[in-house]
Amino acid sequence: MLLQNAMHDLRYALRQLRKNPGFAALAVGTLALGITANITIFSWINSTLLNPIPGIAHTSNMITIMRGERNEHPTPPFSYLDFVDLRDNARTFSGLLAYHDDYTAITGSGTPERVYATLASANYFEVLGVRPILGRSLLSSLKSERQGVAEAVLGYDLWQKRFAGDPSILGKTIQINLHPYTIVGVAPEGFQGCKTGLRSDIWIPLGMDKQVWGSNRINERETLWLNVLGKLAPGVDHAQAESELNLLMLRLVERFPDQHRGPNKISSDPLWRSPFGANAYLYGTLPMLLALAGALLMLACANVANLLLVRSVARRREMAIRLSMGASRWRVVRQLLVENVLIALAGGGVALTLTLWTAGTMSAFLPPTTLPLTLNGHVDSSVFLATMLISVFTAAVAGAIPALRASRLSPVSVLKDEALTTSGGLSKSRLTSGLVIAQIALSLLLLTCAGLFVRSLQKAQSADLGFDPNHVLLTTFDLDPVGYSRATGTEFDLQLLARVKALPGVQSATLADFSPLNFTIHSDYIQPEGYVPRLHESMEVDRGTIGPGYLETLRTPLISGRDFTAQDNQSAVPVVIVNQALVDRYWPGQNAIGKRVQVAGGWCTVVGVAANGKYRRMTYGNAPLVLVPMMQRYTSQAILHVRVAGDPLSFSSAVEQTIHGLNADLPLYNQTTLKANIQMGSVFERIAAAFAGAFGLLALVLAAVGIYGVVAYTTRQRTHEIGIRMALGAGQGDVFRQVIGQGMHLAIAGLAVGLAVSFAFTRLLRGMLFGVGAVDWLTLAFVVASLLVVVLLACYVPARRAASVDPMQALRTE
Amino acid sequence: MIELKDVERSYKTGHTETWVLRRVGLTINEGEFVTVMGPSGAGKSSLLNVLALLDDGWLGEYWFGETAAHKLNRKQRADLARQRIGMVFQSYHLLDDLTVAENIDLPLSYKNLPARERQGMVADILDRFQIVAKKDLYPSQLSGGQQQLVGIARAVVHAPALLLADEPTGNLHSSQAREIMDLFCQLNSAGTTIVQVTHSEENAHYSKRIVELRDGWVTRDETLSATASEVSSK
Repeated sequence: MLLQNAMHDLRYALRQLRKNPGFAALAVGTLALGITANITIFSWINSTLLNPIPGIAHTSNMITIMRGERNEHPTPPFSYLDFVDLRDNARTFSGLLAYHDDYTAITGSGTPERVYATLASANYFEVLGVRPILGRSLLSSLKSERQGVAEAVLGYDLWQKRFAGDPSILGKTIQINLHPYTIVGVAPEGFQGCKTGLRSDIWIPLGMDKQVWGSNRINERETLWLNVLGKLAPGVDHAQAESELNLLMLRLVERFPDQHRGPNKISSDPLWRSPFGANAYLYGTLPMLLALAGALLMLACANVANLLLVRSVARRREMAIRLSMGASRWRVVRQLLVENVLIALAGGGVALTLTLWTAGTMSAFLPPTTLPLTLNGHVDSSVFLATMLISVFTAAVAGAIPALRASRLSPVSVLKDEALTTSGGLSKSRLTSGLVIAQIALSLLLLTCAGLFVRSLQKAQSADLGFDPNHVLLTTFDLDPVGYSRATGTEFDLQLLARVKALPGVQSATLADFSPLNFTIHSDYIQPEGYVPRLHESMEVDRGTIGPGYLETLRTPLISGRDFTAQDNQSAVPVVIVNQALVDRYWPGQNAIGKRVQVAGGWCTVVGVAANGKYRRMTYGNAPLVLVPMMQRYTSQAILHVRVAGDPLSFSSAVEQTIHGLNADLPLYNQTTLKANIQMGSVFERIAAAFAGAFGLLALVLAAVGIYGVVAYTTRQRTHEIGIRMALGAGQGDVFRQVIGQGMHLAIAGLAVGLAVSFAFTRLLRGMLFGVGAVDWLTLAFVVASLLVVVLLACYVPARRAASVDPMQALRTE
Repeated sequence: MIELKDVERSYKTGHTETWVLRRVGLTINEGEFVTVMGPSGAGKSSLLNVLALLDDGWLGEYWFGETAAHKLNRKQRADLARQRIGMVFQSYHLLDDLTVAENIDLPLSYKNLPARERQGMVADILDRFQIVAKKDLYPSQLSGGQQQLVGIARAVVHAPALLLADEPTGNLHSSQAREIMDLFCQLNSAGTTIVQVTHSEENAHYSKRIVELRDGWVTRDETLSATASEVSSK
């Protein structure tokens, strides 16, 4: 019976919508805009915060473990030996895994292919619950984890692309940085490692660190290089696990005090807000964007609610007949809600189609980078379900009040009133006015947020970077996979710099293991001479390894001392350059030149003090930085920085030829400009500004449509009254001003409410803004002025129409 | 069948209260055909709305058979009306977007009847009113008389005990009006109690009793010796 009635309502609703295509299109389009905004952001949240490890369905019982202060750019917090002690003694976990990511290269056949690799503990796949689709995991390497076993698990994409999905790949050999590894497994499709947004292509045992990256850190308790992720034992919560780890850590600190001088307090985070990977940045930005999208959806709902209220006037007779024929109030409400659900589902369908495109727009904000970023949303069953739920919710929000009001009318009075010219009474016009006020208030909120984000981005982009990003060409290469040793690599670097500098148009050139504002700078623990750290104070600072002439090439002002030269090599005294922020923090008011600082265990002399610069994100304040010379601390992976006169990209082929003149087989990566590269440093600010801005503009359009609709409708309802007024002597100007005044009254009320809401909400954005306060009067003034102009424009057409009413015609129509 | 005791109804306009029904006492027996007459503003339609249980703002006692309608809440009154009362309007009040058959089905659709049963009832009434050929037409495709025929068919499809008609021929020309009144007589003969409101003396004489209202008061309650249909048949 219920189904029959529902089908009846559905058929009738379809008929109604077919009969009113203009209304249906406007309502569907309006809701589609609001729903698209929400499910686009949701698709991103779904593929980052809700599914932090793609390919693993349940991560709610997994935590990342952090040691020391929580920040957005932590270094891996554990040594291997500490990890083993924690893993073997912790009882609150069903498993603890460790891993370390870095670039390596697949060599052995043709040009080396750069891949992002993960050194993984033997239990890595088992703790995550990831079962290779071919072969096995790395578990068999457990007994010889420290020594390592030369075996590898391939990522699905690598297997497909490089090996064409060869089903008999197991047991074959792959060369990683010129060393042979046996392929023992293939990871399932979609799985890309433990860091959200970063894709690993290959997994090898932890013990192979020495062979791949030439390091002995697996045997050093003081070297922190591993990320640790734990799966909680059944019935254990985060707090219990955290306190057990802290207890175990305390014992380690007592046993090995010299290796644990830094901060040792352990904290844990669920994966959705893990400090490692993209979620460290996204867990603040995306929920905020979803809140703004939610406000936009409410605005769209208010618009549609107003449309429905206006339309309900035209349908009063129908509702009255239904009620007089015995329809219960609930039955009338249900029928109207079915129509609203249809509209909302159609809006949801359009939104889902649009989201197929918009979900992929996040990566459009990412500048060219060597990072293996995989940030994007996609439409899956969760997004589909969310769309359905949002659509039904939207139908309820937009349609409930109009439906309830339509069902509450008195059939007696409606059916008696044959002319049916009533506007629905004072209360209905109050309701529509209230909805318009809400729309203007929401628009003001969205526009204010958009304005703040745009101003913040402007401030960030015009901030003093501490270097000149213009006219610098970047080229990345890695010497290890093509067989260079430290000695030959250093020689290569020096020759390269000499040849590049000799190119016509090149002003200077240098090398570095990072480029600014591109998430590639490293950090190290330091001990400045004469500075006594507080108990467990973090002495971790940003660290860059740079070639001779770095400050000159980047045009970073040198405050005192000198830049590195080619003579700062292994046979010379170890030296460093520090920035002013480091001096201010550890040697305030002192001359740093000649002072010594311990970097990664070795003492170095400060030879230069550089001006502060932006190295991690545009919005960060000045942080201490230590720069070490590449000739003393060799790194095979380097980024060539070339300052030129003119367009840097026009030099790319000359630079490439110069490099290949030294080694024709050396692969080059990510040839780009420094200016393009630093866009990564404000990527999340640009995403926030772009989407908040888009939402703000949509809000402005919806508010304009809403206020136009209401003013036009109420003006049309008052045609008779206007006719009388004009017959009694009112001029066109009087009528025009009256209609404009009606719109402005609504606007002023909406602005007042909107300002109050904005003051409350924008305080929550304080942490996301740079160089602009949560209450920015300039932004507010611009937003208020924009809204007033839009309201004036929206009222203009109805006002003109009202002013041109022919009084005789108006009186006759009554 | 119906008994009104001291029924009163007023409307407030600003500070003034306008009385449209004053201490109305009326008994209508089962099978009666009653006409309510009176000048404009006498309270005819208000009385009809009270009888139809569409209005809630009246005072007094209203007995529908053994049921004390004055003690029922809004929902119970709506249920009673849905089961026992049919309404015919001067302006037909057919839904423009529904076909003839769908319009007739409308009151049934609110009674939780199985679809098959509803279809049977609609088919019966279409047949009885000889409008089967028009079942798929929309109201705009019918003449005024045909629309009122559909309105009456809709009112009686669920076999109500009481049929209320508010100026049922007010928008029809005289020949169509006579047809409608003849139909009312047939329905009355078949046992349906009918109360109609009309200005027309001619139509009033199709009924068996005339109740006249003036300024809300019942000023005349006369049983006719012979109805117009009886006269014409003689």
